[in-house]
Amino acid sequence: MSNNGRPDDGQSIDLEAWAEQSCCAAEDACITCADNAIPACVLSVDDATGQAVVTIGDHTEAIDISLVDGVTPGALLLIHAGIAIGCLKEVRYE
Amino acid sequence: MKYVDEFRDSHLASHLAEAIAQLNPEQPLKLMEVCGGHTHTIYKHGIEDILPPTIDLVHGPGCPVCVLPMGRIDDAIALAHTDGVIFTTFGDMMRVPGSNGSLLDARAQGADVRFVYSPLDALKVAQQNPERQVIFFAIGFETTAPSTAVTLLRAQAEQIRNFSIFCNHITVVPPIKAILDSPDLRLDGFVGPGHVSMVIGLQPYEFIARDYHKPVVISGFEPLDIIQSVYMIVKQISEGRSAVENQYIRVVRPEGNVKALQAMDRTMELRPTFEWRGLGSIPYSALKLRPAYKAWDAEERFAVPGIRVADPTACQCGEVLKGAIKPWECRVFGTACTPETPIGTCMVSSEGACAAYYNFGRFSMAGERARLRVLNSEATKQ
Repeated sequence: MSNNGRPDDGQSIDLEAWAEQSCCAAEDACITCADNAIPACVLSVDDATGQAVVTIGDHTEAIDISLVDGVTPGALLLIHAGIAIGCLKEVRYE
Repeated sequence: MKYVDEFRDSHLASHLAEAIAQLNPEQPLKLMEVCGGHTHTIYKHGIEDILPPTIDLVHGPGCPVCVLPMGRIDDAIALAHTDGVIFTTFGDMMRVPGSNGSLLDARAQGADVRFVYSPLDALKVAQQNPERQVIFFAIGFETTAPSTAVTLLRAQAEQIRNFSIFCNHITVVPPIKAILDSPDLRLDGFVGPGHVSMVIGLQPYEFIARDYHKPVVISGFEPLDIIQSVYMIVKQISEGRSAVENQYIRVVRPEGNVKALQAMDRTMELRPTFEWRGLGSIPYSALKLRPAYKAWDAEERFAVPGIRVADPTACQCGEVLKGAIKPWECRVFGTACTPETPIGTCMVSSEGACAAYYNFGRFSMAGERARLRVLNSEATKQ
């Protein structure tokens, strides 16, 4: 796989293998119906482009942050379908 | 508390489960969770086994893959087969069966179908292939609609004209209301979707507590989140209250994500009606592009069959989606319908109740029968 763990467009690989890569079950979570949002730590912010460089797991990528206010390095964002849609803050549960 | 280990602490889970049992020792309670991610967590971590047997968790229509009618899949496949089109989709949709195969089958037949993680990736494909028409298959609830909205705004700003959206976004509140109005279903409370609520806030659920007198607790996705949310619902019931409460306070704000809501409102509007698999047509429950974005609307640019297709007669996904039956009560569950040979969408999507039951091996006829004996005996006493 290339591109930070994302598969290529599947033009040149075996169809079944490509389907396995694209099947949501292989990733243990469905992008859409899981209502999933992945935590990402902000490394840097580019206000001009409305993007932040974040770490997600063991890789880094640029993410659109136009829908989240006050993003600063070190912040934890929640990413869904390629954009940041919220922040994660530390709270005390009783 | 940090975000994974502490939220999976089995001692805390047991403690909470005991507290639930003390609050409600006898009364059977049926609580619906309306979120595929919650279904996934519940079965992956065996939460039903931890909770007291009086608590019955029912899986609602929280999987946007599962509730998409076959006719819309056929429309997507027709678009994929259009000359010159690159059809992009989330991977979840690849295997979903239409009336004549899936998008994966369409690819095998020569359609250029590519999966993407984000509609922004689909927009990049359009920029990289200016001579082709690129369509993005947009599905999902309000968690996902903002990414489509952002993509549309960018396509407009950069005047990327060989890109369009086949919009099938749906909203979470109307099907909940449809279920509440359903005569054949009795529910005592709702575990609300965490990340949808991060976008829409808490206000849209208030009618459930106010008009239907059912508690709603918005929940996170870790095991302790869900168990604590069940505790909060049972506490409300034991105190004779019904309110919307937020368990997922580390993420959800009462007002939601205003910028996301504004982006959605700017680019999309409610359809007068939309068909939901198993629930029929529900008014104002789905989104389409606003007229100002007509140039990026695949349904305006291309011809789609638009034919309503009945579900296979053997399929009972509709009853599973409403929580009327458990997955294993479907006549084809685990036999004709498996993840390898799915008949209905509840088995195709890993967040579907049937696939969750099947994949995580929690399916135990003996266990389910024991729980039902408890619930039925308590119901008889009343």
